[in-house]
Amino acid sequence: MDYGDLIQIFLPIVLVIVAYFTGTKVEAEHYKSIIEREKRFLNLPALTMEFKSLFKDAESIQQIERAELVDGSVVISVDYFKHFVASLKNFFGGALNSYESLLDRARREAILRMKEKAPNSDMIINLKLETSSIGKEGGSSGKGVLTVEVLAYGTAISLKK
Amino acid sequence: MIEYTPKELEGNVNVSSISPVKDFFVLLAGLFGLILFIYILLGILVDIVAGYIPAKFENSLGNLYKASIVHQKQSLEIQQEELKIQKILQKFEPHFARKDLKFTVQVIDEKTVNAFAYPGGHIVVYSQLFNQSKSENEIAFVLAHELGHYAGHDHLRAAGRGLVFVLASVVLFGSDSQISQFISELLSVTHMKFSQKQELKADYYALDLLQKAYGNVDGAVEFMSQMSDADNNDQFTYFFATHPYPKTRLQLLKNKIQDKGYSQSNPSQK
Repeated sequence: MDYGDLIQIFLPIVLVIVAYFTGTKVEAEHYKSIIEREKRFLNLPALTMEFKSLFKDAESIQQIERAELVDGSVVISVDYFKHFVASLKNFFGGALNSYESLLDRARREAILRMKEKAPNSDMIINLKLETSSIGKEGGSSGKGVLTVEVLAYGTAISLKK
Repeated sequence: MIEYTPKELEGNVNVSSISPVKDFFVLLAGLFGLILFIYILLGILVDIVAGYIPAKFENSLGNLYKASIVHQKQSLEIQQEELKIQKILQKFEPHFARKDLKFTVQVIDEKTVNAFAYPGGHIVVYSQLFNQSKSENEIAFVLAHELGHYAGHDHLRAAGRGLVFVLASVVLFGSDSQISQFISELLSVTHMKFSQKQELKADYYALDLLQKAYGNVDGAVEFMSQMSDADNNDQFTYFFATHPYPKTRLQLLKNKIQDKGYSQSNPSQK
């Protein structure tokens, strides 16, 4: 056995450590940006309520100036550390805590992007969130790319002033 | 219309506050402990079973392996070397406990100082061993060492452990999983420790056999000194090796010779 074999043993350990620190930094920066943008869009509510439950009569419908489809989507990838912890957890079962923050970021980012598409509207109604995985193949073996897309869409309503 | 008052949300229920690092270490330690436990338990089972496996099975295992070894056209020189080995083996025969094995010898013309044995009594020696060794005793030591592996059923033990380990990790994690690779690399240290223990046991067995057949253990120290002089690898790398660090091995051999009071014809030289 020579140093090549040693590298083979220690490489995953080094990768896990490096991925932990880079992943933590990236996540902290992303959350900072999310929170800052969420504050900016605080006056633009995104609701799951349907059109009919908000605009019940002819009078309220008259107030609408514009209605349009808006969407925002984001594709996120799992980092090596999170994936490693999740694969370990996979054996025992239970909540995959390491993926939670990742998906939380993705959902909030998708909603923010959707809002950024209609910054001047008054509300976004009938909000829907959809998740799909891309390139799932080989993901569990660590060789493929393990990614998830979160898509947020709804109807942006602008009211007459 | 409904009135809307903007309000910031505090906290985040969707993200657990558990530290991922703690999660990582707890999970890794738990899993590794579990696998280690299975490995040791099955290892003990294999050790028990290996002693009862009939030579017939060992032979058929050996025949499978035989196909993968290079068979070259033999020169006269090589044939003579094979004869020499046969003669040495004959000297050992009365003192060798396992009568169920028939030995075959093959010399391969290659510039490596090495010899190995595989199941079914097949011993392979590289011709460079003859060029380097100064006496018959050195070759005798190498052969006695290989016989030691047969005496301890070491091939079956090692193969059994390997099989058990591969089986366990594939069943638990799938054949192509990152985790099973990682755990197997961690476990390989345990595996190597086991292998190194086998090598030392074979060394000690060889000393005993040499003493019985030759009346001295001269070849052992001579051969091992050469090996340790030729070795340039760092001691650290032997932590992950199948064989122990040659200098340690040499020292342990010397200690054993003193302990057991084996005779050496010219100990002053060493």
